[in-house]
Amino acid sequence: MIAGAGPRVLIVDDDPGIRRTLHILLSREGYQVAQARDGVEALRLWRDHGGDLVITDLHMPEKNGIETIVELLSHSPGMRIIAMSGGGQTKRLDLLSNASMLGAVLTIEKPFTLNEMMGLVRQAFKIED
Amino acid sequence: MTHTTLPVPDNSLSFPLPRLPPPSRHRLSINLGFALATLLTTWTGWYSYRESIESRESSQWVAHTYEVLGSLSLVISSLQEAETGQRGYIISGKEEYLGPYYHSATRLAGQLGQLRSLTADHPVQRQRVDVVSGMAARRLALLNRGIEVRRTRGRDAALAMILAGQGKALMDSARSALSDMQAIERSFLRERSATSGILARRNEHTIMLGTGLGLLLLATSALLANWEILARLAAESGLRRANEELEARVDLRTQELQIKIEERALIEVELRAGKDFLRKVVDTNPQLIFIKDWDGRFVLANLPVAELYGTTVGALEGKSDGDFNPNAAEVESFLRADQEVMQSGRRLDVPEESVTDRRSGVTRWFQTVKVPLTSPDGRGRQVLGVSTEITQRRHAEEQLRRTRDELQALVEAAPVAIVSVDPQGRVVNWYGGAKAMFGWSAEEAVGRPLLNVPPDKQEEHRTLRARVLQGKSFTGFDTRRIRKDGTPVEVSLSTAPLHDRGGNVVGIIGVYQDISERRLLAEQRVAREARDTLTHMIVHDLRSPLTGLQGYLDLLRLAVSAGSNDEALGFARDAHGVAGHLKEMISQVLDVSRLESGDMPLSREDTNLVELLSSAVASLGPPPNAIDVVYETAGQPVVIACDRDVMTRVLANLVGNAFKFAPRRGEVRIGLEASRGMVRVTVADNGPGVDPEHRKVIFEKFAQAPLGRAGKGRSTGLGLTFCKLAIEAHGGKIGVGNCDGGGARFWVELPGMEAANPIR
Repeated sequence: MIAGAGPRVLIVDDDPGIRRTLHILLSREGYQVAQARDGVEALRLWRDHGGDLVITDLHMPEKNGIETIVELLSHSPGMRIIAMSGGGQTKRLDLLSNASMLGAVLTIEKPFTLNEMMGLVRQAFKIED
Repeated sequence: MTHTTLPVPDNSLSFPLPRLPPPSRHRLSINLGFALATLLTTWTGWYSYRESIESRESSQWVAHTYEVLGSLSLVISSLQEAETGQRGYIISGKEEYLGPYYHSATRLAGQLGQLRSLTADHPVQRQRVDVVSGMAARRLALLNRGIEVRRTRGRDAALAMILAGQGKALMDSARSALSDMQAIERSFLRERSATSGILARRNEHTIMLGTGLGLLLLATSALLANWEILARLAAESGLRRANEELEARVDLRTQELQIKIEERALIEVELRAGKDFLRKVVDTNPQLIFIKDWDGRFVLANLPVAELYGTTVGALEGKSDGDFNPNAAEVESFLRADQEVMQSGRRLDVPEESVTDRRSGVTRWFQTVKVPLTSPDGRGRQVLGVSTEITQRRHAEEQLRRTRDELQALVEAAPVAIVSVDPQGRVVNWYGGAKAMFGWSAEEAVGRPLLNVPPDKQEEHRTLRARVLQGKSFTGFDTRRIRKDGTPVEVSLSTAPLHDRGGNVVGIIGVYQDISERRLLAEQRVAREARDTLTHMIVHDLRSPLTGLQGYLDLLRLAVSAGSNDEALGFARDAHGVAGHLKEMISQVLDVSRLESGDMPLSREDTNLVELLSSAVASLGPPPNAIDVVYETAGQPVVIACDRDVMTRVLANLVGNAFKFAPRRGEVRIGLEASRGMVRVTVADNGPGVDPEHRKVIFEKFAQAPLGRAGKGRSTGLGLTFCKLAIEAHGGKIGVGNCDGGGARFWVELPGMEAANPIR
């Protein structure tokens, strides 16, 4: 899955359209991209291969985004995370803000353009840099 | 005043006395026999007496003859002795020979005198006696001369003289005369002896005959008498025995009587004790007990009666209520009731009557039973009354009635329906609130099973009733009932069992609260919340595909800018696909909404479900995660009338759901079976399955969200809700269970074709 030599990005979403478009976008930008359908698969991939950025949806089957984020952060504190939310769900955003205290979590609300996402990815690495 | 007397036992003898035999018919014979015997004996005696007199005379004559003969002999012998003595003297000369001579000569005179008297009755013999006497005198004179001669002239002279023979001749003559006399006497003797013998014989015969006859008669009579006596003795003996027996019986009876008398004395003591005891019991009894006569006078009254009237038991006797009770109306009513009982002879129950307490003037209440009695002498009518005071009970009842009225008012006024039923479920009480709530009046509802239970709630109703009858009450059970006009009413039902004193459940009280309004409000609230949630979720759920669509469109733009047509064409196709899915999601939301509001007409047409299943699965694209799809259908067409489009979406939903939960390389089994009038479709996966608690709610709107297991992406979370509504719109049912080896198995049951057009 992971190809190229750039920073490694893990995309986690159960919507295949989002996974596929982000994959194409980030691959073109030189990132090594991996994708997972849900949190369980994401954690497995992260443990096995590690990564520099996780872009995850918050609403997924099996293991939702918040749980996934909390687990990733406990595994690698301070890691870069971009959380995508459906918006309009204040409760979940509260949870997300709680989660962001654990690390540098950037959020973006669906729907977004590829440019918006690309800007956020760059911001994540820029902050890191 | 009456004297009670004990019954006197019957002392009359109960067995017959033996009777004396009746006067015998032998009696006359016996008497006659005895009379004849007496007569005969008398006659025989008299006759033999007469005969014996005759015989004695005869014998006397014989004896006389013998005496005469003896005297004759004595004369002869005296003559001879005198001769012998004289000759002895002559021969011997001795004087001593003269003694016999003198003695005989002396005797001879006497003997001749006797002979003379003996023969006095016979003149001939008497003459001869005289002759003999002369001869004897001469002989004696001759003999005396011989003696003289001897003396004077000696023996020879004397002998010579003897030899002369004069003496001898004389002697012979005398002897001859005496012999004649003897001969005559002897003939007399023969004659007389014969007469005497005849007499004796006749006498003997007479005696024998008389005596014999007499004896015979006597014997006969005696025999008869003996029989008679024996009979009498036997009778007497019987009589005696009877008498003894009688005496024994009398003794026994006397003893028995004695014992009875003692017993009676004992009984009387006991009776008295019993009477005293009864009196005590009667007096101790808190009830009023009394006996009155026709005129209402007390024959008997116990202490409580006396206390009620402020007097003594003794003072009550002979008096009537009027003497003590100032309330004339009461007195009058008592007498009327008493006389009614005495008249009719039937028991009378007076459930409630008042008696005015003489001292306090307070009215006391009694429940009285009056029964007719006959006075001890059997002539008069009486009435026995037993009155139980119910004043307190009456107060309590009054209190209870008030409380009940209050409760009744409360129950009637309450905005709830209160109903009680018996254990069989028949309505006992149907209070006002129930009429207001359900429409039936108490008259219509009471005595019948509950009318407000709709047919589909009967089973639930039975179950609930059984639970309450077991003593388990419940509160706030929400259910549905119907009104008299058939309209439903949502109620909250609370029940409690009613117990009798023994703790047995004898009924159920149920309180219905109309929660239609509450339910409506709650439903409205839920609907509002659901709408909000739905809005949020739709917004959220549409964002992901919208983001995907936007991404594809961005890539399309980039590809077009880069002049890469093939790439652009691919992204355009992808964008189109996502847009199609978005449209499907929106349709689903709209369909659910329309199905719920009944605003979605189904266009039914005969459809082969086998084909429909295939196309529905195909619409999902190739199964993800290398999932194996297994068809369990007979392969024959199964045709039902359904809305082809809606049914396709239902099946696609179920299969898509299964794909989602089946593991990688898992299995989804699709079954289709048709039985009479019923088609059943099953979709099973070998995923984690559905918890029993979730099986019901899984078909509710947005059930997946709280369950946290349904995904998003291509789903609105309304998929199963849509399926349920769509299947129900087709008159079918939908449900879920777990497979034997785990994994969920969704099933759909649809009514098949009518019998005229069976499933092909």
